[in-house]
Amino acid sequence: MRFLIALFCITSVFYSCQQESVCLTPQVVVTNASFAKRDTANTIRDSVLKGGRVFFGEATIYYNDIISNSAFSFPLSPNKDSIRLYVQTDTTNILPSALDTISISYTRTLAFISVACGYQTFYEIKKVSTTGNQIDSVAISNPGVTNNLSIKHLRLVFKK
Amino acid sequence: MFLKNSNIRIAVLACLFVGAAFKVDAQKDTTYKPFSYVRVGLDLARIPVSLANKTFNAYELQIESNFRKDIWMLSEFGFGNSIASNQYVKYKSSNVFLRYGIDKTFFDKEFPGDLDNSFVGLRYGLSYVNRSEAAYAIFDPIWGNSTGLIKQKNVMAHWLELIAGFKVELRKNLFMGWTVRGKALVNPKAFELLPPPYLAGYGRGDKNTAFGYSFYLLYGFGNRFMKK
Repeated sequence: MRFLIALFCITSVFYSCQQESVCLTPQVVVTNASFAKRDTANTIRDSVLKGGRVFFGEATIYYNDIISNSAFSFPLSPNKDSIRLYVQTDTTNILPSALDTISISYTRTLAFISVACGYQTFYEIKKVSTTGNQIDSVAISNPGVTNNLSIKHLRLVFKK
Repeated sequence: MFLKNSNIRIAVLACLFVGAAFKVDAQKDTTYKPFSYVRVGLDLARIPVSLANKTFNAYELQIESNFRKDIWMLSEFGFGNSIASNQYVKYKSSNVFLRYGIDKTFFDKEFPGDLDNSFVGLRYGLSYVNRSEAAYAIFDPIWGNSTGLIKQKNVMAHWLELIAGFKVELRKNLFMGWTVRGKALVNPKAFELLPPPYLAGYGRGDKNTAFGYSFYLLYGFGNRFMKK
């Protein structure tokens, strides 16, 4: 009897270790964009945006306040093939010339994470365009958007 | 190329390792009778877990017979079911599996008919997996949640195992034995879209390598002296 109890305990511990019932893998999939600026010699250099704001989401109800940052993050939509975000370079200036629209087109892939975490949508950025009021151009540094949070995907180059 | 797949690399190394252990004796025993003693066993380790666990069950049998003085040929087979039901995915799977392999024993017989021994071995496992249609949900507080279905699919799984263990005779012709197993899936791409939650005979379907163990209770019959 003691042998059977020991067998049950050992096998239960072993097999419970094999089953992942709680999702431990990060489920955040965001696009990371950095800021850059052209200097007087027209060379593009990394820069910091101060006092800006980025709007995104369905009906543009979400925003990121950029107090003094060199980069920001935003999610792409798992339900659409393109999104728009709005970059306000100066929150005190509400004139349309202080606002830029960035349009991002991408393809979506369903990616299996684990049995406990299910699926996430990964993206491949295909095209980015901007209205060009304050932003000179947007470069795609890395088109693949996955749950690897350390990758920079876009580079927003501001005018001088 | 071929060896770029890390699982295949592990499998090839395992084959080389076991191959070295399976060096055939130069002197042939002409009185030796292969397949004269057969053992049939049940993996007891699976039973309590399968009865207690609501998410998977697996049952396994083994049949083996002597082939050479220190080599046993064997087959292990079984079946199992598993279910994944959480907020992200809902689906079921069932599979039957078969393993073929050989064990190489280490120790000489201490007396005629002595069958206590330790061994290393190699197994090739294959399994027919039936995975049901799966429902998934992706939660996104900003853009809205999305749901979808993944079609039902039947898949063949192949894996290799490097094993080690021992068997001792408890009473006449009644044996027990532990086996520890290192496993590597040969075709992990077959499960890329959605693996079974648990693959009986292998382990977690979403892992390319697995570690497992068996605890067999076996009954032997035939000519235990293995002589003509």
